[in-house]
Amino acid sequence: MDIVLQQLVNGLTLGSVYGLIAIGYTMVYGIIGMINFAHGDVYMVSAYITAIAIALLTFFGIESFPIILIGTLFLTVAVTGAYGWVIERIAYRPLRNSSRLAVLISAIGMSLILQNYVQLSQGANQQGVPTLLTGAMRIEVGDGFVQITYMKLLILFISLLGMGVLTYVIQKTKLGRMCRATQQDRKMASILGIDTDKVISTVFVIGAMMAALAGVLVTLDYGAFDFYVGFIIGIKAFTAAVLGGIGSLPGAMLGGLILGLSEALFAGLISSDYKDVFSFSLLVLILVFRPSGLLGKPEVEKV
Amino acid sequence: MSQENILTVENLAMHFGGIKALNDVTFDIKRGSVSALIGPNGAGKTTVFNCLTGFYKATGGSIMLSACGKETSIIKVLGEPFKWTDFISPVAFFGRLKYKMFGGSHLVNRAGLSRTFQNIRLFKEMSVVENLLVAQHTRVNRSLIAGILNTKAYRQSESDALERAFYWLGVVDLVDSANRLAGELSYGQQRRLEIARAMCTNPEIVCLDEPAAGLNPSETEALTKMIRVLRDEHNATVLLIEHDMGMVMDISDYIVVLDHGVVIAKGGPDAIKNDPKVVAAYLGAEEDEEVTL
Repeated sequence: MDIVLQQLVNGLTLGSVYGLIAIGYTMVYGIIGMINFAHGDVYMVSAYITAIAIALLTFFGIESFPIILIGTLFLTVAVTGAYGWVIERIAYRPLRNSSRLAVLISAIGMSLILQNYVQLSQGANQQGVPTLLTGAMRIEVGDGFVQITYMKLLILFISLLGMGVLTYVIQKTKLGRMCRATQQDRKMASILGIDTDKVISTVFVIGAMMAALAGVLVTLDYGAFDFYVGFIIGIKAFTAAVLGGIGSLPGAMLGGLILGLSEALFAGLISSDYKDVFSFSLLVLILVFRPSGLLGKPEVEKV
Repeated sequence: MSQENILTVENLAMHFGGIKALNDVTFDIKRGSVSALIGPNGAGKTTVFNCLTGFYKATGGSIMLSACGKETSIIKVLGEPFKWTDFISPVAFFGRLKYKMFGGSHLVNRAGLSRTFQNIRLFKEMSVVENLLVAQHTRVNRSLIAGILNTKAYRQSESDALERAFYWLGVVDLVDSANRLAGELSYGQQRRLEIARAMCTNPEIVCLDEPAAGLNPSETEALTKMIRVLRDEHNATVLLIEHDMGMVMDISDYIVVLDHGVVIAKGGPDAIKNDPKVVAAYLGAEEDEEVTL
């Protein structure tokens, strides 16, 4: 019993991280119909920026955890957002009117460029940040206990907050309406006076910012990272996006949570060696019965 | 504004590879008029509209829009290729560079021209009122921070936008459907909503592409009335493409007839009705009485 609860908590935090990264995939797919293969590497870049930000803040003699956390979040989200903007500007916008495969190849190229650029500038070895927040909450359950570290609580809190703010922005504000209009009919939106290029840039920036939020939280939790860390988590987040229905924002969050939960439960109850096999089998199963994902709408694909 | 013509099209050409869809189209639209663009199927009417609204980048010629207190060259704001003279004059160079980087069809709308489509292009997954709000974004306080914090100025501008949206819903008689999804509306309602959305961008000239297609006679009559309202009460110039000749002759002050990408006649409804070239284009000319253009 206690192990199920423990894995539920772990799965929830893992899932919310997947969900945050999946948002970037799903929003970009929704608005320009491309899969941004460089998104996982944007996450990886944000892990490095986190380390740099923490180093900078401690260099200036700041030691209290809340200030370091807020400062790091702010710096990393801002710088990674800038990365997102630049990537869209140089790698995708010039190919806006060419075939969709061209953009796909350009995205793979961008992914390799980012990995090698980080490897060159930061070294190929694994890097780490010190553990800043220790301690845990213990809840007695029957004869065992469930342990929730404060870091896990923080991850859960910040990622749910991030998702909440984003949902509000997309559903209620001007910018959100512009995004949804551009998503449904880009040319028509432009004829109504919406600068669609700017909206697309904004979507890339939002995606990168959400990935950066995940990057800061995971880096603070695990401590270690290298230039290749974006690949596997990127694939997982992409899976989450597809699972929830790519193009749908609530779908990405739901997909992330389902993927994280099932992975953690399988690892805890059956075998942690085969947890990836299980999560991808789940994807296959769901796609067999719902080809457009859980919340996705069936769409006629015109590739 | 003093100038009489709101839209001046000169020698407009549009080629798709070897196909010349438009060849030398020239006409003027007077401010405050209702004008119609007619012609047989495939004459290039919609292509003219697509060039006017920045949907296509015209191959040649010029389109000058004189609205919102300034002259706008529609071809220029879409971003033209550089010419060698640009490298001598920095002003021309940066002007062109600016539109190459930031230009696009959204600027045409901001210059005061909006349009509807022959096949309806509403945002089907948004509610009716949201469709109208999207069209007004250029005038609303757009700051994201203001939106998240829900500041007073933001709420004020949102409620103004809502008020305007409901005003237009009233004009097109859709107030009861305000919160339904646009995709759920009936065909005639969608047509009216599209016109309302075009008007929400506050244009000085609105281009309607076959607004009466698929409407029954009483709906067409209501549409005719509505177009008069647009002109008389909202100072909008209306340019429409239409196949319903009864409606065209009834409503238009000025008619331009296109055939095979060339203007074959222009003038008032009575002159057009009796123009032999127009009759020939619509009914087909006898082989021996060659119609010269």
